[in-house]
Amino acid sequence: MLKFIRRIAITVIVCALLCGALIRLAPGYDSDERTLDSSLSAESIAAIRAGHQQSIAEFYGALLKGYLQGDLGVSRQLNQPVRALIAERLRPTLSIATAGLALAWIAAIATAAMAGLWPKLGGPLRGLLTGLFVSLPVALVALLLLIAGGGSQTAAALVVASAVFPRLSQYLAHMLEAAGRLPHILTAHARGLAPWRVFLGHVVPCCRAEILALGGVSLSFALGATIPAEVVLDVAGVGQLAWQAALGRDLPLLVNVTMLITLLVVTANGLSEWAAERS
Amino acid sequence: MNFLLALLLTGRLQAAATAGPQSGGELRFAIQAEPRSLDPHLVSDEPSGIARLLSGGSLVRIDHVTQKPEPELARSWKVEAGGRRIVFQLREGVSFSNGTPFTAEDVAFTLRRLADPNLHSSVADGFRSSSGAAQAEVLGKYSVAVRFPSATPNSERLFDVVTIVSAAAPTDPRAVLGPFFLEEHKAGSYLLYKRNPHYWKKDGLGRPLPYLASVRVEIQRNREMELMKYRRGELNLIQNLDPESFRRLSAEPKGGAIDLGVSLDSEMIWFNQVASAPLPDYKKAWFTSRDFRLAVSEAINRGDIARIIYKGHATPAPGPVSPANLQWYLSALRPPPRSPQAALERLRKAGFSLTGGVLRDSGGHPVEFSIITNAGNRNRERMASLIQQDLSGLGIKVNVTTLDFPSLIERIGKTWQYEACLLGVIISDLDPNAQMNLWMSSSSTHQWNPGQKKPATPWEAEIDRLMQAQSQEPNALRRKAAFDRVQQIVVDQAPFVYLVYTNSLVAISPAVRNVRPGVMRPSAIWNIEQLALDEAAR
Amino acid sequence: MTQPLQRLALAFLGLMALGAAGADWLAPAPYDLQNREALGEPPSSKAPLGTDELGRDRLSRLLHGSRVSLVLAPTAALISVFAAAALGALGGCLGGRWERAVASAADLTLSLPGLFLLLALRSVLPLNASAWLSLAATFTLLGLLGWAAPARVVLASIRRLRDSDFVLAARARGVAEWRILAVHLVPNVRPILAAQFLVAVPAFILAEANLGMLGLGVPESMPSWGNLLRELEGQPEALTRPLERPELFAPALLLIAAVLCFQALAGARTESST
Repeated sequence: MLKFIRRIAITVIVCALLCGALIRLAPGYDSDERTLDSSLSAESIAAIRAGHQQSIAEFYGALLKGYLQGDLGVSRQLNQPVRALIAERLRPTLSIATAGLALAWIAAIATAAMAGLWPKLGGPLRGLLTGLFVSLPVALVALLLLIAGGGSQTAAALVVASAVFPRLSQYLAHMLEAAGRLPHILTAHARGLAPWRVFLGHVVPCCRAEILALGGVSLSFALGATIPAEVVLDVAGVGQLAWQAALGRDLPLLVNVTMLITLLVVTANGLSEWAAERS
Repeated sequence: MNFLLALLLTGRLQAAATAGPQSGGELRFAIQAEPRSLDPHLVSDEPSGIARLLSGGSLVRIDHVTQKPEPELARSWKVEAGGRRIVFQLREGVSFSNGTPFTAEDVAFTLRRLADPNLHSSVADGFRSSSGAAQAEVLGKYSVAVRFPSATPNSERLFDVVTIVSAAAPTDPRAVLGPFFLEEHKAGSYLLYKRNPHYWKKDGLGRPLPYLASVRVEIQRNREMELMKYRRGELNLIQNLDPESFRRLSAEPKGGAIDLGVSLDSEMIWFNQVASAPLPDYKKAWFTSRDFRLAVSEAINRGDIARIIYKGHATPAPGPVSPANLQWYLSALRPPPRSPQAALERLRKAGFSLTGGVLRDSGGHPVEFSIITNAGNRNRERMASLIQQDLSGLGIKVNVTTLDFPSLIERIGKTWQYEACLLGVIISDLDPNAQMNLWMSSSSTHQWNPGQKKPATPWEAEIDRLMQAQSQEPNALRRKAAFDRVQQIVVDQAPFVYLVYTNSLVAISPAVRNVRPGVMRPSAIWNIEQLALDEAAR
Repeated sequence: MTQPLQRLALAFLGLMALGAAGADWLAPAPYDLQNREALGEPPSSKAPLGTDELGRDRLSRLLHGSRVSLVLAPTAALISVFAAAALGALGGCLGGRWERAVASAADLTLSLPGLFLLLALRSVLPLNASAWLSLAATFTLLGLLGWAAPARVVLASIRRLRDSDFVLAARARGVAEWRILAVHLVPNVRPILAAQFLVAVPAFILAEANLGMLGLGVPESMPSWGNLLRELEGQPEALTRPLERPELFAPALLLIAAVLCFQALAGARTESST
């Protein structure tokens, strides 16, 4: 367990360092829209420019000092404490990701079970559904839902589900198909056991470890889909915050948001790996 | 008899009152970004400006329709000492929203706050110059004088954006003089304003303003979503509508789309003329050539830009000041007639030659340059595509590159790694003094060649001189003549190639009453205290 | 997947590739030529898919746009599959610390703000870079960022193969490690890589479409499927009444068809490999 925590901590720290360096070195870091304002005096423009002159070492020093005092810094763009911003935005994102994931899992399990139980009809239907969803760009789905007039959070959850479902469904189907070829399952079929009993009693338990691993990975799929979903559907969540932070070169905000996302992804992956090993 | 008369009178008053606007209700509209600051003295963006308008009270307000200053918290004012001093007589019996009385001390405190050299904002910078900051002097409980370090023409207009803060609680959002105070702010989602119970203004019938009980400002980046909410009645108005949405709303019977006509905003391109820019010398020679710039200007089909990109809701632009600016527009200016032949002729005279469909300079270099603009702005991207085709007719190859805003600002403001840039200008202050830094060659916002130690060209030297002269000229006619000359030089030299003045497009639900839209931003809600909602809409 | 379906998919992709390759001859007009007197025209014999808002021929843009998506997406997929194979094999063969390092690097890549990297890439490219170059750079970066997911699959299968009987037997016989890699591991991993490639191609086609819809795609005048989809964004009423202006949906339909074809091929590939 300790090893596991150490691995998470190292990954998160490396990610923060990399992300910070990336933004600091990327073009446009020290530019500010206000410097184009011709009603500002030369002194004010110089002062605004000077305010952005912070080296990456200085930034990390300040960040670390803040962390020790429980302070995540202040967003450069929104002028608000990062902690409050993240705390406020985390809830919609988590509810979108959770609802989207739940929907995607239900749909994936349903289609996979369908394909497992009635391969002749369920198989091609699963293929078609997966294919259709996999080929719809997330942003287009979001736009369609927007026009359909759905509430933005529900729509965002649907977008996340539509992005996660096809991948989950594909993985699940491959897994279950492979398990179906195992000798004891073929024997169970040969003995004339009802297909649903074979499926629930033999196939599913065989894939438990892989399903758990998939659980972790699916969270990273879902988090990945929340950014475009929140941006297009205008949901004030962490995904939109990350996008704005990237566009505005908001170093304190982007580093903290990236760390949070990494922490979630790595923890979920690690936990499912750990559970898979134990099972 | 007296009793009967009294009854009749009250009856009539009541009838009038019920016929007038209804009090109460919540007005809802959207802004496209989170306000950068809720401190009224640090406003640098439109959303913050709207927050200031809702809760801030000022001594003077510019009427967005007549564009003239009107008394607000100041009953009257008098300019003295050749524009160096202005004396305000304040309204008596006015209170902040927390109940504390408003006096000249609050005005003096506000001015002292603006004089703080660490306060970097356009509001504060209007009150400071190299020779010092404006000083306030309390003459009485309701009388205050402001002394400027140098003669400042039209100084009363400066006070339109100066929100008077309470000397006792300067940062308290509940101690304001505006019609509303900020009740709730959910970052990234909305700002909720409630009626200021102590607001001083009354309507013609003596009823307290504002009529509205609250204003909800939603932060809505997605304009499509804003439009949908408006159609569903969840928003009451849309400001700065884009032409495509305008077209769609116009087709609906209750769409409420209004074209207010030419706005103050313009779109333009300019070439990089910075001497130290990392560009080959032959390209610098093209960009500093007046003939080259004018030829480009002549080859661009402004009419097509207005017709195709703005669906007719834009006007070809000759110069920096649009006809919407009633006082400073120079009607004699005309956009150059589109003429590729004249442009080619001009280029030939300047040593360029067109061979095999490729324009070459006298050194044989094919003429090819890139235009940068901000990513995600579809109108600008498509405008650049039109320009690309227009210039290909002269044998010029144009590459269009869209960049995210910070990278673009870095290129045009710091590294000078660009060739031409397509952007727009949003004018919020009508007075040329607000554009001093755009035109002065020494300024860092003199976009085409900023921060010049001494003017690089005679015409820039002349602009410098004229701008300096008008900034201190008390005579209005002489000021206008000086600024007219600046506009004429800009059109003759084309450091900025102006493309179009865009129209101000809004959508206002029929439920909203008393709207007096004007082209100055914000166009529909500037008289927010007068706005009312129809009973049926609530 | 049945054999005829797979053949159909191949035939359709082939047809699309032919159309894209022959865009210069097949397109009725240059893709960026604006006919400003024929804006947003409905389909006609002259312009079978009509013209867009700037008066450009939609069919020509679609043919040229297919070229962008059909050439660059497979290239990016190749890059990411190669990177995944190299890193996955490295971690899988060396095991221990190396394996953990590759897994962590994959986690890191999955959590880094990839969109920001694309944004930064656009701003460092030379301004006079041709549209094709900036597109190629974008797809290359997409390819480089896309290694993490397939690498995890490669890592897992190499781990499984490493402990399999035939590899252990080879090792016991004293076969050199590089030979084990070349003779036993690579041929066994190849079908997995092929399947990953076929899964990655549609993923990159979609990534470009998503970038386009977020305003980070290719320059406006340059057609690509992602860029062409943006036309729908500007005319949302068309989405509610798709039958009124079906020509607007041509890029979306082509994209969906291409992705479905790749899916079908990938499905067949995985079946034959398992």
